[in-house]
Amino acid sequence: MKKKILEIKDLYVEYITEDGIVHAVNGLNLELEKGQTLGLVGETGAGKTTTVLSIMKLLPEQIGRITKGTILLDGNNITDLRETEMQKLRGNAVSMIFQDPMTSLNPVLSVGDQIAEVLELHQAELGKKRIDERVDEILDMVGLQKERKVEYPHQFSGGMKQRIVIAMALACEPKLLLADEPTTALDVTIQAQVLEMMNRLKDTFSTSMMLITHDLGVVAQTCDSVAIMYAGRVIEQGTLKDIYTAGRHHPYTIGLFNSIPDLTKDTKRLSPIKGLMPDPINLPNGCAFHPRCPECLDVCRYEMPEESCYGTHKIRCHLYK
Amino acid sequence: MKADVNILRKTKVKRRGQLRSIWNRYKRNKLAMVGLFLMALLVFFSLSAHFIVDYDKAIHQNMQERFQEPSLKHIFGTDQYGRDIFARIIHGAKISIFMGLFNVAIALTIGSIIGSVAGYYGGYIDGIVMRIMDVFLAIPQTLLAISIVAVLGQGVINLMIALIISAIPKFARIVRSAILTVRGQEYIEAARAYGTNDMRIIFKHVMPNAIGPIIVQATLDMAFAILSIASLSFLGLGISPPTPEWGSMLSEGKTYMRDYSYLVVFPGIAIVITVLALNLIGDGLRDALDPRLRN
Repeated sequence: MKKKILEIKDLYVEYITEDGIVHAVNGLNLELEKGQTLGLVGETGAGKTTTVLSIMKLLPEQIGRITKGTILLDGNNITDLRETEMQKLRGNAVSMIFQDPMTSLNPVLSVGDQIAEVLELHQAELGKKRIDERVDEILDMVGLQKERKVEYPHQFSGGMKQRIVIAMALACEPKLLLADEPTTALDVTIQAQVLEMMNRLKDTFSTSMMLITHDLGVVAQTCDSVAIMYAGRVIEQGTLKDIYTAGRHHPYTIGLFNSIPDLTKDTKRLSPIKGLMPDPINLPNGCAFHPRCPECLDVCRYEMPEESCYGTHKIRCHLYK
Repeated sequence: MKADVNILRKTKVKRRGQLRSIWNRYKRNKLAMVGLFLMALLVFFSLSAHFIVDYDKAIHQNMQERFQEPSLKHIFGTDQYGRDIFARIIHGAKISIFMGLFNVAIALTIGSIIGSVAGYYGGYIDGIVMRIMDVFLAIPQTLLAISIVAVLGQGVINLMIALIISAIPKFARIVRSAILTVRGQEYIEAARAYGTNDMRIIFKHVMPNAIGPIIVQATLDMAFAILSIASLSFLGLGISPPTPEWGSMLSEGKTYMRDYSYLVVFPGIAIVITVLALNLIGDGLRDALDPRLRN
């Protein structure tokens, strides 16, 4: 059995707001093996970003909190780690790439300084000169000229900025990289380049990656396994093959795939899943997807389905038992 | 070997890159350079005051030469006690400029620490700290300074303490609001995501982004401090006579303003030039510190 870099067991996360308690993540189970890429897919509001922020322990203070469950990073429980210990892990053992490279770089620091800072924080023993060289190497790896490290973020294009963000995330060769929609803000050609580069660097550093996206095409291109989230739970997970080719699927997954336009068919409209994501303050009883499910059974309305396993393929639906 | 030298030279330039590019951007602003020039001139005069005119001329009363118009002997004329106004202005520059600088430097440091802690952490800390600052802000600044001097007693150091205490709340408030606008930005979260601790975030990531309004406030406050020293001196709570000080020269000359206007015109010009120079420098610095405005 391969070693697991990340294990999330029965995770519950809440946000306390003026309108009530938002149940963002409800009993999430996830595993990620070393060196693999996991695609986390779902609609806006499914709890994907919340999951990533819980792993980083960067949930908004006083508002968001983990109420139950454990997160194991490389076998170590990080759920109860103190802030100072987490600071040592962040950027070092686990790194994060943010969605929008336009806003995630500090406008008043040169990009070289920003990359160097990550190294100064976690590998200060290298010394100034070595850090400087390391910055050059990293810039080279993400395909930027090292002469440009004295320049400021506004002097780079969007795709280049995302490369810088990736360079910062990978500077200390983390064991786990969390990428929160890293290509959403980029156009399609740049998207492909950035994804290709991330894949290559991931292999070079033997980093495991968790990729959050709405884009099933991106998943097919980069991931080894896929988890589909709905209302704070994983409703279906498995290898790429399980999700894309196997015969059994959660109705939600089928809906997701149906909403992708098909090049071979001439249709006037896309066929999205009807209805909206349920209000996370007030989740429906039973399976959270039942109000929108075309195959809703009576039992779905009051009973939460258990996970049914078919080898690596797991589906949480009453249709499969 | 030659290549090695080249590399060395290059890294040296890069290390100083930050300051140099700020200076390059500052240089491009003509008005800011005028301000810097005026300030340099004033600092030069105040530092070399003793070599230009004897201090004795600035404080020694000479009744035979009172109310002399500007002439070659007394280029700015003499006041009601026959003291040379040029000498008094030059020696007064020392007090005004250095007390102003010192006052702002200390008030800015303390105010920034208070404001950034309150703004960054928010919650109870913010509430408690800023309510205390509000108590100070509720009292007019000059009145607060007067009461502090009245309690501590007259003297240069007590005057400084009074001015610093009365300026801290303003800085704390402006730093706090600047930090609040920066704190929510994604790059601050990104900085946290790669393991930066709070102090480093405040000083390396938040402060440089919030510096614009703070610098402007600092230069304005330095002008205000110079005027405050003047008004407190006028009330007999600041610099005691016969020490030359621009503000007290103004208020003493006020009585004779109708007949001998030069008594107030020259110290007035000195104050105007200083305040103007500071404002121009502040404006230029604000633009130079923001790399986004580079082009």
